[in-house]
Amino acid sequence: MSRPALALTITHRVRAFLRSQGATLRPWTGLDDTYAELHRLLSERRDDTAFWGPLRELLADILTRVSSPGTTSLPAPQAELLASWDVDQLVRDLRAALPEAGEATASGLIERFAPQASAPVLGGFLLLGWFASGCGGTASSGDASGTGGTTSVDAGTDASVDAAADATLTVDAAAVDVTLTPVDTGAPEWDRDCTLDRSSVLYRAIASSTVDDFARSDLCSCFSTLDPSWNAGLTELFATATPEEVAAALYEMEDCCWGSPAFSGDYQEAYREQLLDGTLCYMALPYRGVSFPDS
Amino acid sequence: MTNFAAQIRRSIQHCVWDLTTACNLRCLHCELEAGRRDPAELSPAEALVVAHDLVDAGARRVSLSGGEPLLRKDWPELCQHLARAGVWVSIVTNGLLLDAETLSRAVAAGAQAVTVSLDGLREIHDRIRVSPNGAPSRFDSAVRALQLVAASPLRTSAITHINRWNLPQLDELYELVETLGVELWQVQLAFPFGRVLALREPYLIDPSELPDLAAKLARFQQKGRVRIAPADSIGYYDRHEPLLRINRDGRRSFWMGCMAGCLGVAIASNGDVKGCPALPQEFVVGNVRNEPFGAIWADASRFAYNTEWREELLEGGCAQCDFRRICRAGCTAMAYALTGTIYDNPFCLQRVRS
Repeated sequence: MSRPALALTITHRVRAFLRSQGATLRPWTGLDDTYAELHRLLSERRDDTAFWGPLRELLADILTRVSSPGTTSLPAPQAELLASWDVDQLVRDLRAALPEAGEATASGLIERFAPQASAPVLGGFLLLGWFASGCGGTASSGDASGTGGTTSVDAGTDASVDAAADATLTVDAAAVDVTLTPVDTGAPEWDRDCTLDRSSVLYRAIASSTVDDFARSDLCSCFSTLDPSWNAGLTELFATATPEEVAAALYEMEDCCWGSPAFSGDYQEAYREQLLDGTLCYMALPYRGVSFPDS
Repeated sequence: MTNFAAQIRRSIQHCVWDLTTACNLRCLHCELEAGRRDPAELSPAEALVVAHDLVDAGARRVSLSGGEPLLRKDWPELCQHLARAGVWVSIVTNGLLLDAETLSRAVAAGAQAVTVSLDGLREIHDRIRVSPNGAPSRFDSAVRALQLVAASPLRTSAITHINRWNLPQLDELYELVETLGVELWQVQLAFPFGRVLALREPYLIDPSELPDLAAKLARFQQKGRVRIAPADSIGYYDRHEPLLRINRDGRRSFWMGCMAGCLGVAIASNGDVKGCPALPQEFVVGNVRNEPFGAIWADASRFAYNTEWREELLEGGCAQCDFRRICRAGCTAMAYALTGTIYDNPFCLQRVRS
């Protein structure tokens, strides 16, 4: 009989094991704390035979899948989070955790080794077996077999993390270059259905920006439907604002345009600041469950 | 800003109430593995107390779901109790039991909308929505139900679990829901939960298919004839998102993180309370038999996965993402189902594109 097509991650299995052993594991417990809990249990219950039986079942489950993966795969290639851990560091920890030469015996390796290993090493130990036969699906980061752990699969330690820490949802002004100069009117695809006057400030703001064609088409459709007060207000704004401000306003209009009730009234001077700081169309929040936008 | 979810004013914008686990179908993707009625199901008297408590707690909208909610005899009373108090009520059904008389009862009870599940064209829908007793085409029943609702005073919506089987049919499904007069089409990804875990053949779509899916849904949205409502599992932060995630004012929006336990809540047929119906059993934060619903809801710390979320726990790709603070790894249920933690979500447009 064939097996299910989907495989669970090692972390799923470890969490189920921990829960079965009475561990107070909350669903929002992080990865490190999950394996720390496994580590704690291994240490605390080293001499408890009732504990080692279920643990053997956990390992047997993983080993079975490793030895005969069949068509089983994870639901997403990057679902196995242990693969993001630093293999080099794991190997160093593993080496440090092993008993001195001459102390190890052939039997009881897990019992002897596990309590001495760190939590990440435990996770890595399980992971190495998991990926040994490609059971990690098509994960590009699953290349932990064969190289003895000399390949780092952790892409999360570069400087981009710090750089990203200050990232916001504001548009990158450098991505938009609005010069309001005459543009080539050679009928680009995005303006095929655009009814804006090509000499208008609104059209030129869209056309000379570097937003993609999808957004151009969108903005064009939106601007074509603006009432006179909005048309005048945005024209004034685009004609006088800096490129960065135009970029911000275009970004905000991209968010606002579609069916927004803000456009049912007249343009107001106060909208200018809201367009520039991205608060004009500050969004309500998503929810789950069938509902209608106006309900 | 470290946690947007902790800064908003918590309120029940939407409650999904699974009235029963009883179901006349055995759908392959059912997270509840619904079929038989749970012996621990709330009694009519207990359910009425819950309805009362939901009103007291300020619930704005309630979706009566299941299982098949129409299999619970007191659904009209519960609907009426909520509706009379001003709650916007919808009924989510597979359509098999929805005839003109049932629809009249829904109207009389004050329901505002009926949502019918539609998971593909005839062959795929019927393959997914398994009938344990050989009921005739479930697809035909769903279509008939949607036609009935569209001709009634109630608002019509359809809901589709997108999977590998029906993904190639989305264009035809769009034409179908448009033809049927569906006002809103909610689409959501099938989760690796429940019966899906036992399937012997691939069912879930691959993350690499998300960009094409998002583009397709955006095109549907642009047509403007049927409102497309992607559920929280579809996202995040690509160019199509403003079109996909339109808020209730009709303005374009974007993903602002899971709001389970902040703006949403779910009640199971046995009285268990969770922040979202898609979350697995581990996320149960109380039971209305043990304490009033209002007391459960009032304790924000029970929904700590959102209210006390911490950026430093993010893992994998989410830990490196520019949007991580507001996104918080996308749909919590999907992240947990995929990875075993709530701190990384490979089903992400941003990640796939990068």
